[in-house]
Amino acid sequence: MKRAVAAGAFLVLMIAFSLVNTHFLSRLIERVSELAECVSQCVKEGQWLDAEERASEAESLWLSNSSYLHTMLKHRDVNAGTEKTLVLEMCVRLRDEDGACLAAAELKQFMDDVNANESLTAENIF
Amino acid sequence: MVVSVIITLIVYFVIYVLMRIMGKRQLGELEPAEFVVAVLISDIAAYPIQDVDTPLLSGLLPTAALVCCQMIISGIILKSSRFRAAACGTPSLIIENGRLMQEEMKSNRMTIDEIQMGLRKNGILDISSVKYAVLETDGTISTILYPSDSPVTAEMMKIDAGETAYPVTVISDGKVILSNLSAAGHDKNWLARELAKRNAHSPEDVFFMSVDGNGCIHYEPKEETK
Repeated sequence: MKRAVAAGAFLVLMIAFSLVNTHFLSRLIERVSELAECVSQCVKEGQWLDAEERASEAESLWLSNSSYLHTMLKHRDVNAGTEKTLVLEMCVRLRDEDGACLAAAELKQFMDDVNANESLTAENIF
Repeated sequence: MVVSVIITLIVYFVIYVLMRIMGKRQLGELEPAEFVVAVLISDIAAYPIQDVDTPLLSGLLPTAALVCCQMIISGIILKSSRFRAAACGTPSLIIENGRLMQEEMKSNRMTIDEIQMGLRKNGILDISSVKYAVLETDGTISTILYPSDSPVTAEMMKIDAGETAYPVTVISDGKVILSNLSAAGHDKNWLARELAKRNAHSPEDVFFMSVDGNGCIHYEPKEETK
């Protein structure tokens, strides 16, 4: 019975770890999504330096958590996220307003989709 | 990550219930919980192998969750007979006094052919020689013959059959297992004498050698390879 109790405790711990991890992952993805939205806003207002700063922050946030993201998400999703943050930063640096807005919208949509796929909802389970 | 763990738990319990509904004869030497875990683990563990795009953790966490479920259910089964009956089912008497229990057969969805096959596996051809046959929870059939049809034993014949002694392997593929040799109460000198009696120059010439508590030795020399 001790083994069963230990297994039960481990299972609870594992679910708790998964929940905490999902929360952490969700916050990280939401932050990148928020930054993409900020970049879009700044570009529309012509604040290119702010936009550059936000785009750079989004890119470094995603890249600095790359190892963690690769253990939690599908590798192609992580690579796609990296590519989208780089494209956004490049468009902002080139002062390409249309390209930057499009890249920011794509990055935000991508992050929202990944977040939706990873969140604990009835749709995802069933 | 949490989604895959929750899905695994749901699938585990759904398949478990389905296996119980399907009945004993579907299982074949595994209890329902073991069967479900065996089926699911093989599939889940293969997932990160087949799809290299998936992180390993996606396969490991659900597998660990399944093992935990299995250990929890095994623990509860040990403690509660009521849960044991619900989770594993109860044995069914399918033959009593040489007569087929047709109601039990129907409730277990067993055909006469399947019962005959189960009896043949036990070396029985005639149903009327069976006093009791029980369909066990793992899907196998256990039989008890009428005393008149049971094989005679040494006790019935009033014969001294001697003691059963557990044999230990002392040489395996040319290598002496010293711990077994000393556990059997012998030493290297004894082994050298026994090998000399059998014209073996060294343990390397022996493929297998065991000795039991009564001193009975089983000896197999190495066959010469071409």
